[in-house]
Amino acid sequence: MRREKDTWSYVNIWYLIIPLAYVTFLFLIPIFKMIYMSFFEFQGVGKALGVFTWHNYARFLMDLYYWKVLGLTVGLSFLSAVICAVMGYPVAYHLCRVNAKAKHILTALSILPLWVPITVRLFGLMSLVETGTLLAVELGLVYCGLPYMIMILTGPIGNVNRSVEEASYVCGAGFWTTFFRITFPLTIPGLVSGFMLVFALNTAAFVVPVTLGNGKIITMTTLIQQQATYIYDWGFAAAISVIFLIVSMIISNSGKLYDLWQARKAARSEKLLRTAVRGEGENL
Amino acid sequence: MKLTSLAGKLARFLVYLFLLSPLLVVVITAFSDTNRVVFPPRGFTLRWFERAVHSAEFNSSLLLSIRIAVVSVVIACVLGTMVSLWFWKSNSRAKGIFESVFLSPIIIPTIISAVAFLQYFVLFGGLFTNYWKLCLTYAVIQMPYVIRTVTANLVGLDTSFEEASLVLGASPVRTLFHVTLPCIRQGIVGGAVFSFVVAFDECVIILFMKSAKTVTFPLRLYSYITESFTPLISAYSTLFIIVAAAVIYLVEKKIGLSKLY
Repeated sequence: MRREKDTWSYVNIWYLIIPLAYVTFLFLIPIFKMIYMSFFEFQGVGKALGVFTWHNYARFLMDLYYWKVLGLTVGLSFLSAVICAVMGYPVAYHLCRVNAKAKHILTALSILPLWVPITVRLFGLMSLVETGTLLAVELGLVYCGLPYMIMILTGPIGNVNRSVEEASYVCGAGFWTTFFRITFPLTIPGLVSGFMLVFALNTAAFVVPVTLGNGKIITMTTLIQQQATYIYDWGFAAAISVIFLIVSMIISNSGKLYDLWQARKAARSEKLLRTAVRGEGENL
Repeated sequence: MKLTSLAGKLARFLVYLFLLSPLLVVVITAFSDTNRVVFPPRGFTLRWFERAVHSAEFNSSLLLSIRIAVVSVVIACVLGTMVSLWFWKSNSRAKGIFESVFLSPIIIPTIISAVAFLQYFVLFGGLFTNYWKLCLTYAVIQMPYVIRTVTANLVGLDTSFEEASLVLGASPVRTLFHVTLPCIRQGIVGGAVFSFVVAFDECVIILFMKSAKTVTFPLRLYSYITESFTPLISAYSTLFIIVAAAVIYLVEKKIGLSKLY
């Protein structure tokens, strides 16, 4: 006797297996193979791997030069995320406060750079600034991150309940007081997530340091490219990639630390409130 | 209050200027009557546009990029939609793990995937041509975007449409193509547009897997920029800025840009 199905559906396990097989063979296995390779001596393309070694990692971790490259990469992208937040906030705030027609046009203008091929964008920047300097790379990073920051910030700013702001105005607060004590605190979680996105995105930026750095500014990504396609030391390239992967995972997950801290703060204040209420009850 | 709004206006103006000036510079220098890109431009000519339209190198690269993008978008859309449907229906405990597996290609920096692909495909020797390597790997990177937009569309979809279709005797295939897919059309189209742009604009993987036969558009532009700084690049880029503006206009009108981000 056939068991009657409790729901009507045609979606079966193959809807998962086929895409999963694709991702496994064309993404997961390559990544794991790279991690595996980083622990072996590399003896040339197409040749068998040498003996197990920690050398590839030791070479990176023991050399101050590579630490400086890592520091520069993280520093530049952190700074670019700060600048993007400062520049993007007023624009996003304005986008959420104008009428629908102006909003459409201004939104389109602010994300137009994202839809233009990145080489075209950077070509425009290259004819404006001198390439091969830290400033050029930083400008490029800010330029690429800013549209994302604006788009993300319009969400939380748009979600701020206008009547809360109005209440503040009615109570006699001015624009700046209302902004810093009402609107801004309400949008901090969104600001953090936008910041973390731009930070992570720019840490992984590759085309920007390649074109605007012009071979003079070495970041983690250009270092990996150098090792993999010019020097052909794939073992070392794999080891740098693994280190870089760990660093970028830490960066993209550090936003969760903020959430955790917020949750604990909320729990603490709730507990405080409860004890206060209970305390008052006892006094009565 | 007056001063505040004035300061705000100035700040916004500067930000928009910063965002648009590189694009404006590209457009302006395309008309320059010099052999190298100079700013401010000198003279006025349309010859670079004429040269751009007739440039065999650029046109073949453009065609190649479009061919790669179309194939990879089709793969990414089919597989991405399948997974999204499974996520929608499933209440498996392992769903969270699968979700992070499928989204990992955009969480892991592309350069790391590129190194991994470069080393992985050596195993297969000459089994794949470079063209197919690019199509297959681009599709992996695009799939998360499709999953995201399609899932966003599925969230609000009522399952009773499908159930009605199945109860009334339509076959699963017919239900899929005539009921479910039309309902999430917007999500699929949005994902396709987005991943087309991603594939077209991809210049990390290509720098690792380039060959003489597969010079895609970004790579061609990149080599022109590093070798000769002629206004020909500006002219070609200008055409792209116009296309991008047109696409944005269409997307905003038909789908709404906010749905994509």
